Amino acid sequence: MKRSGFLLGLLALVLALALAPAALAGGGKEGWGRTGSFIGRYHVKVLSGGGAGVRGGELTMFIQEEFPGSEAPAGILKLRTKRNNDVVYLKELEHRGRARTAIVKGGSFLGPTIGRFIGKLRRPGRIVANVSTRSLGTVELLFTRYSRKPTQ
Amino acid sequence: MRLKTLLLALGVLAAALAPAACGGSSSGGSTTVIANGPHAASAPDIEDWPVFGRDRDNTRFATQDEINTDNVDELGEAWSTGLGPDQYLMESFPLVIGENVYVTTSTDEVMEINGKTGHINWTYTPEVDFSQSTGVGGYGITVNRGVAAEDGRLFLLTFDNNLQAISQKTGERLWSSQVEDPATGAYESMAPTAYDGKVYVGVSGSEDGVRGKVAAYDAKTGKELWTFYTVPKAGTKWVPEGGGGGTIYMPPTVDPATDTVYVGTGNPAPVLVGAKRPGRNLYTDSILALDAGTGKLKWFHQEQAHDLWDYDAESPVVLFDAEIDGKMTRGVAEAGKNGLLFLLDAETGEDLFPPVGFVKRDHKPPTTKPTLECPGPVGGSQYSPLAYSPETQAVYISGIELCMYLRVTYENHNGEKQFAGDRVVPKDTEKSGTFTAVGVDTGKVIWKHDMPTPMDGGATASAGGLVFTGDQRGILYAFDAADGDDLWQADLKLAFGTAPVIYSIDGTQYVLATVGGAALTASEELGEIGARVIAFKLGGKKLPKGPELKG
Repeated sequence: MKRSGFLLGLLALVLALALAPAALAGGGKEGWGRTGSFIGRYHVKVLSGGGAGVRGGELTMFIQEEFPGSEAPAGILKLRTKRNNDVVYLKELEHRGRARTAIVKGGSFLGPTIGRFIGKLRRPGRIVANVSTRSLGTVELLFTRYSRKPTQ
Repeated sequence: MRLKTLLLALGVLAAALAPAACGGSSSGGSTTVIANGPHAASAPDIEDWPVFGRDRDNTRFATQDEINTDNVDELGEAWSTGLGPDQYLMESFPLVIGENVYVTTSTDEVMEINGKTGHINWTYTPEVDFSQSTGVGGYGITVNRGVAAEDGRLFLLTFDNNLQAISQKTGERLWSSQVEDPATGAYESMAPTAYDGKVYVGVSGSEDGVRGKVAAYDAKTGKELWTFYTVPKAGTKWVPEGGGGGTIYMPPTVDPATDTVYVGTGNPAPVLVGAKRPGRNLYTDSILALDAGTGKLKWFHQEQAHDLWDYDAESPVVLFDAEIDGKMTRGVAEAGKNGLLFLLDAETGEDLFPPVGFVKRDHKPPTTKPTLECPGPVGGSQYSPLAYSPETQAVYISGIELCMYLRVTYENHNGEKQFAGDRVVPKDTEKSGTFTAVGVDTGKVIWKHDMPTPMDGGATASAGGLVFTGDQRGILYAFDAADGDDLWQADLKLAFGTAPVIYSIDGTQYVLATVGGAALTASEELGEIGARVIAFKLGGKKLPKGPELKG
């Protein structure tokens, strides 16, 4: 084997080893795309409540469809603070490897963009994310799916 | 006090002397008496705004005249209060009892706010499952249109179909009853109506095939007393499997003099595919008169038989007394999504006059090819309550000038499961509205403004000769109720989804606007959304005016 071939083979081996855990964990399979594998309801555990003191909540992920051909993944996130029900909406869901991102809308899916969702898939059905909005600041949340049906 | 107001007040005083006979209701924490009936005039002389439309006739007419056509240009901001973090959209119609304002948020919180200062005294935050908003057109829009009050209790309907009673004094929950299973697709956005120990509610969700109903609950215990279903059970009579409709979006109006509950109903389902539901599809798109004690149907008036366009009879019913052909007549007014104002005999449900158009109307049965239909996706007048002034004998209508391309697809969608088609507002369309005064004693248009935006939220009139309404740019208008003169404007920078309320504390009259936009604002990107309560009084801080109205 030539020296360059050896180096290429070594590089491929390193890359394969580096990507293996993600593949084994299904990180590439459960994207926030049209496959629908992420759909369902998630419990929310608050890891860091931020300035507004978020105490808990719930996430509902579903495929939004106003008319045929308009399907798009979306989420409804309810966060409970001491005094308020804070309900925000996730749009423009994207994934790259284990990373899961979305923009956060206020009032409705067509409302103003008020923040970001930046998360990481720990394993299928389990995401840790920082959610930032204008009013809540940044909160760190653990999402654990408990139902594959958005309304049950 | 002006002569008309004085005469009106004398009439009201006479009626107020016999409150029990009229079934008057005393709201906890205040001395309010809400008189009713043809001899009570349509507007009791009170300082508060204790029920949805201020009085039992639902007129949205305030008897105060401190703010009037002569001095309205001195109106300015008294205080302004935001309603919490990430609060967007505001379709809540507040109540005012004593010194306090009771307002809900789009996420079902109830707040008690001091009416003089804007200070939030307490907030009630219920546990609510908002996941069902995946079913509201797939757009996740939740709104709450307010609470009802009686005997120290406030009554709230949460998005996930719970009727809850809370203490008016402390904001603590007293009881909760589920009025419908959310799994049916039903949801709540309406304010309930409380009267004489009963709380009257409906359910929403016609587009998902929900079966509409009006129900009465015991105000002390939350126990269901009676239920009237507005359409047959799915799979029986004209309703196909999975179909339904006739749901309710706004609070019923109760006439204590006749023990009658008046309510408007929504469209049949499947919405666009009429072949699957033969006949008139009773009692969809109808005004219903029910016995308040039993729920038994007295009469119905269908505004849109065999509806193919989603033309609900959605806005709340207004009662009025008018001299028509020399005879005092008790009437019912309602503005439909089909763009027509209906003026009916309250006793029989028959037309007093031919329906009056207030927006462009041009529609035909939809097909599998897109056709342009007017009114459009949210109708000619959506949930917006009318105002009625007994001084001008006119009702004031918020109109929406939007058309839509409608197309039947026969497909069930993730959002509106029984819509069976799609509706799209043409991109190049001008999104505008109307604001129209119609005489209830003539059935004729008195004056009409073409408005720069669709009008959503309704109107409020006063004995000061004014009628208030707000647009989607956030402009609050005060028009001369008699001739429509544009007397005053304030740019609140947040779109309207409700109409103002008027109250007085310690002799000072306030006009209170709840602003932040409606579902319409968000879905058509019409204006800024948020959630604020802003009070105005004479001599308050001046706000900038909006652009001049055309014409």
